Amino acid sequence: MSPEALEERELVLAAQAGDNVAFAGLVRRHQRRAYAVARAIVLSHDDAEDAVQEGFLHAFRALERFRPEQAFGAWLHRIVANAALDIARRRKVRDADELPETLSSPHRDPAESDELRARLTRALDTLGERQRAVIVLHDVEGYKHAEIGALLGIPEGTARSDLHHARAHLRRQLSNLRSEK
Amino acid sequence: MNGTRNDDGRSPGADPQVTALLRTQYAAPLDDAFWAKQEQRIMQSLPQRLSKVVLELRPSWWSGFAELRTAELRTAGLIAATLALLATGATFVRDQAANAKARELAAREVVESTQPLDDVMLTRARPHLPADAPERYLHPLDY
Repeated sequence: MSPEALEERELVLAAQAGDNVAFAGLVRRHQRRAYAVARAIVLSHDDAEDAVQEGFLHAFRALERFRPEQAFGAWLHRIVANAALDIARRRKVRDADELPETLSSPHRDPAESDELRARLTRALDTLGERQRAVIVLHDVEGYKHAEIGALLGIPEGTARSDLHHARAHLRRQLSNLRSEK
Repeated sequence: MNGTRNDDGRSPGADPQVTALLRTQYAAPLDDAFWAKQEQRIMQSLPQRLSKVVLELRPSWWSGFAELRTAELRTAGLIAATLALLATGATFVRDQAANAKARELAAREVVESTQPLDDVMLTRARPHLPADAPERYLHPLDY
């Protein structure tokens, strides 16, 4: 076991014994990756923040049931993914009653936006929720197909196929713009 | 899922430009201040929500029963019921014996009474009893 893994195991054991400082250490260690997982699933930065918070809260409550020999990150990311899927589901129901203004709102500087980015945003919005999550988790976060399958609760083959279709869809959507340039 | 990386978006089919755009769109913020704030927000949410749970689970006088395990409760109940049954039985037997003794003493006191028979009793004509009269009827002069 690597020193990092040993340190994490100690943090987990301390957190399980009720040490909140140790749990804060786990939050510090995993929140960026947890955010990335959530951000791939939900449409907005704010929803991703909420999903991460919900995920850590669920993890805190379920900490007693976690076996320290498992990988804490994998366990946590699965919980965060579930929280994000739940938020996305609720958002979908809410948006169905409102105007169809579902363009994602990146938290980055709006000045960065150009036409290609705007087109990409629109293209991503036309992707299915799962396909968008798969391509972001794979191409941005570097997860493997099997890991994406485990996170989203789908077979590895489905994750592979979703990635293929998502890439093809984005290529089609962006090809016109490139040919114009 | 712990820090493993795939082909970094360079696999056949991945468009480097699209991947780069996706990263700017979806990558986690780099600002450390954001993460410090996020960590604080997460940690603050834990005690608040837990205190709600604790309030909901505030123990009442009867909540101690819930801590008894079923098997232990059943054993204790059986022992208590057996002891109560034994005590009730013993009390019943003792009362019965005391009552019987009191009746016997009362009867003996009547029979062994030393008071003389009065004139009325001695001069009263003996009733003519039918042949099938109850044997329990005893005239004082018959003994």
